Amino acid sequence: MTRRRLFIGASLSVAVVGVFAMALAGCSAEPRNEQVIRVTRNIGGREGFRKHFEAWKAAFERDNAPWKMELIDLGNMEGAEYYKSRIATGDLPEVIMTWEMSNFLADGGHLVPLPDAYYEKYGIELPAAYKGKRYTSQGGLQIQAIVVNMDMWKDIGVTEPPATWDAYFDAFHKLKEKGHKPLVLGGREWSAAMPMFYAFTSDMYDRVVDPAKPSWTKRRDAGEVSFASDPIARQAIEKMIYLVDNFVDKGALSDGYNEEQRDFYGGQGATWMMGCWMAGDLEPNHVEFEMEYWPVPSMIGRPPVIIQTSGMQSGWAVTTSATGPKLEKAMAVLDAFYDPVVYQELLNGECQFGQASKVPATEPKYDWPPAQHLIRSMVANIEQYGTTPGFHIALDDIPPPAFHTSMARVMQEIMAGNRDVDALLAMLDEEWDSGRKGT
Amino acid sequence: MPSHGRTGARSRRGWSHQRSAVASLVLCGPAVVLYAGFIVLPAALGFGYSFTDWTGWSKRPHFVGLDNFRELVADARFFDAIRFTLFETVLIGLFFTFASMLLAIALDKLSVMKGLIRGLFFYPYILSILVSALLFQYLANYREGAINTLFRAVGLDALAQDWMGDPHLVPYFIFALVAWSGLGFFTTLYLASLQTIPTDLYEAARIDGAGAVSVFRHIQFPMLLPTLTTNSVLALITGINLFPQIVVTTQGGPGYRTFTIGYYIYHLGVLNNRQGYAAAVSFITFAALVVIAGIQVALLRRRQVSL
Amino acid sequence: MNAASKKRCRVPVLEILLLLAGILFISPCFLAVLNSFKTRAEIIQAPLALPQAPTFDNYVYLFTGVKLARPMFNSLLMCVAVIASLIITAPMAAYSLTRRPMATGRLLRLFFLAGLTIPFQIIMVPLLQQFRMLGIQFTYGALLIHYVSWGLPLCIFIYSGFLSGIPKELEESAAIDGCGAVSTFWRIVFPLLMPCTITVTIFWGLWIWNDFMQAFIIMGPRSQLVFVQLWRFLSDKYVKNWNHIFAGVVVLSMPVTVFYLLMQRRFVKGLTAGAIK
Repeated sequence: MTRRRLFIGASLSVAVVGVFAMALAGCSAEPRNEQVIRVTRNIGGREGFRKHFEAWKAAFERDNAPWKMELIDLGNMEGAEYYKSRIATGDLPEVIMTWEMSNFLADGGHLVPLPDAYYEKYGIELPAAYKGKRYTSQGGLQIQAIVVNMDMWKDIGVTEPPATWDAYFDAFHKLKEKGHKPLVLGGREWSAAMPMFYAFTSDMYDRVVDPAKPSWTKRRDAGEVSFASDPIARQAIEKMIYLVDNFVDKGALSDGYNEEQRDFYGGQGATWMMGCWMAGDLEPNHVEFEMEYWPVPSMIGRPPVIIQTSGMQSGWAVTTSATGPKLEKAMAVLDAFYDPVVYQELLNGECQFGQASKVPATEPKYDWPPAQHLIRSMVANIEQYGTTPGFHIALDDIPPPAFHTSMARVMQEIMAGNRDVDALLAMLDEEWDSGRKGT
Repeated sequence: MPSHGRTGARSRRGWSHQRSAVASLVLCGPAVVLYAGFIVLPAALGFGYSFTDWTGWSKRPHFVGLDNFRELVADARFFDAIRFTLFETVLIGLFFTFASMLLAIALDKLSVMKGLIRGLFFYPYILSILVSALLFQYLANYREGAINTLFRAVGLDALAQDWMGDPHLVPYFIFALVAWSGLGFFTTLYLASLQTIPTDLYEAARIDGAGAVSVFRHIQFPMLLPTLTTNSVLALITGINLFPQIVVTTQGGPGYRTFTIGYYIYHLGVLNNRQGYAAAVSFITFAALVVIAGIQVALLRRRQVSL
Repeated sequence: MNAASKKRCRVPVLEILLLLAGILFISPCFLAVLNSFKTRAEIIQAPLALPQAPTFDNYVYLFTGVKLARPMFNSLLMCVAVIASLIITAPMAAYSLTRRPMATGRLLRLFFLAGLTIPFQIIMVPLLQQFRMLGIQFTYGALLIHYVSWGLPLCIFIYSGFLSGIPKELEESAAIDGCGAVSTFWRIVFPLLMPCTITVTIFWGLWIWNDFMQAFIIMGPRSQLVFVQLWRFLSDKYVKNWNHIFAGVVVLSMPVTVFYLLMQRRFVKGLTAGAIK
């Protein structure tokens, strides 16, 4: 008994000593090396992103030796929570991806503005200024529209993109008759919002931004218009209801993005409303049938258009953590971003199109023939139908953060059987107002 | 141990006052210092933000007095969240308090393969909630999930449901996920408690010819009461703070129908950037929960048998 | 002993029933094991089917790509350190609380109970600022302090529960013998709490082992703890490499499972038999 107690006592004491040793030694996980620029990126195991970062790092270190570039891989983390915690401790990395947090970061005084000369050097169209300043690198052109399985569409004799939602619905009926599933749509996650997002963007916002005319967002914030009062919004909801009633099966609410991929890549659906990044998934998923990328239709007689969701200030920015010599090197990181090899890797990894006219990298390059074919289709249709920024106009002219989630929730309500158009519109308004309070 | 003649009347009041102060300090000291310093203090500061319009980002939030609380009182979504949370809490509370007790008693009686069988029930608790949620999605998916596939395979097509998406079924889906992943924890607590029952009591009961139910009522249940208190309070807290399971499955959906209080706080703070308001909601919930838990503990401890 | 030999002659009905129930209960986990042998594309296409060409690639990747070996060791060390600290501080505090006069004891227990209900989101920013003021931000030490403090309410609560079921006679005899409160606790009460201690060890150890969010916030992405590495490295908010994650989960749940099975032998009935007499 005594010996056992001694043994327990001894091991506990050892453990306690170990505890204090660890605490006092404070073995830090983040040694502050002086010649390192820390850069955040959400790699999360994606090969394309990793290759891009490695190329970027190689280019920077080649031209700026002995400085090093260090990756802070945010992976699954809510980048926002990480940034907030680092702001609290005064330790933001020197170069960060800003996503939809640019406003908060800029307002908090954490970002260093970039000169117009930076963009002009690479032939990039100046992104809309935020409170007079520009902060972020610009990635490639990212588009969102409709990818179609041409085998099924050819089967009903339609090879050109329909121009209106009703024309799409007619085609969907025909596809159903032929035994094909017309639309791939899962209700569980963010991807549920896509049809509604397309409807609002195509018809509630101007195709080309007119600086003299306030956008729908501005008018909404000024109280001149709301989802409840706007007939186009109402019409969009009605179209969504028709869509769900006729082409979305029971059980869609338990399907998410993964299930949509399963259906479309598995050749089980004719149409998928998804952004251009899906082209990068074709090779890993062995997708072989012929696809095209079609523009988004209109309800009010406008021509079809492709939605652009880049061009905002949401790329990488230099933070005010970079002071002294670090500031110069952080800027150098942003320069290395447009090195042609690096930029090409970005386009490949993100599946985007070049937007830096002086950089010789214009579109993603894939070895997988069906993917290349789809890219060709994208390029051709961008050329033919043009792009619109929709509501992605500027950092201070954009719906509240999480608006996309609000649209997804309303789509879920519709899929769950809610047919009260007024209530659905009211939900959108409530969410908008609530989101605005947080700015 | 030699027994003394005295019944130790004075020692029944505990040890003498002088030594008691020092002893209390030594016993409680480290815990109180750590807890007060690193939980209570930050929590007080964190709750303090409920009087501001802090977004979670800004360095200098503005003081807004009781505005957040006034908004809270009129917030329909908050009350919907309360309703849903209470519903889940009742299910969860009953299950973890009673069902796990029954399981623990059954597991206690095993004579062979004890470790293995207990391990089978314990294993799901080990898995991270993200993984458990995904596994449940594999079960529940309407078209290709395991449950519906099985039903269709045996011709019971009509029983196939959208377990995760149907608004009427999703509360039970969430409950199933919580129950499945948590059962190991609560059962093991009961098991540990059952181990402290001396075998002599069981022997005596057997000699007296008592049946299983009688043994349960007179020996096991009274000894399990302290753990019942613990478990029911923990289950209450799990229910009221229900949030991780929502984030990894329904995200509050479909629509807003599975918003719990915990998820609403997350939604406000992280998605809507209204950390000040989130702190207010959090504080009210916290206060209510402390009161309810306190009452629950007081009521249950009063019923405990002290041998 | 008589009861045991009687059982040997009977058909183990209970055992069989529980075994079947247990297997049914754990069956969803088979999906995780199944999918750990597939490629990511295959998991997307056919999550329920048997792997077409079973591969160990995912497992290999865990040790070559993600390099989980060192983080596993670190996490283990962290678990041991935190649990040791908790086992020392929590039962003592619980003991002191339950043996106090009614009102103060209850108030103090409520004080600790309140800690269980506080969400991490609330304390996150002030806590980080506190660590910064103390000069220990982003260190393992800070995380250690946090894990211990965070675990105190739960452990104290569980220990209090157990303690209220333990009779006072033993301590009173010790007091008569002239033992101080502290030594009474360590010599007499603590051994009685062994099942509880084991339970707390298993649970809190498991919690720390699995924790990802709090470790990431307090220490940052370079924290070399196993689940931080697994989740951060292998998943994004939108895209998750489930093939690697499943392999990781299978591997990482093994130590805990083994520990639990070993500890089962300590869950032996009659630990206190005879001690009361």
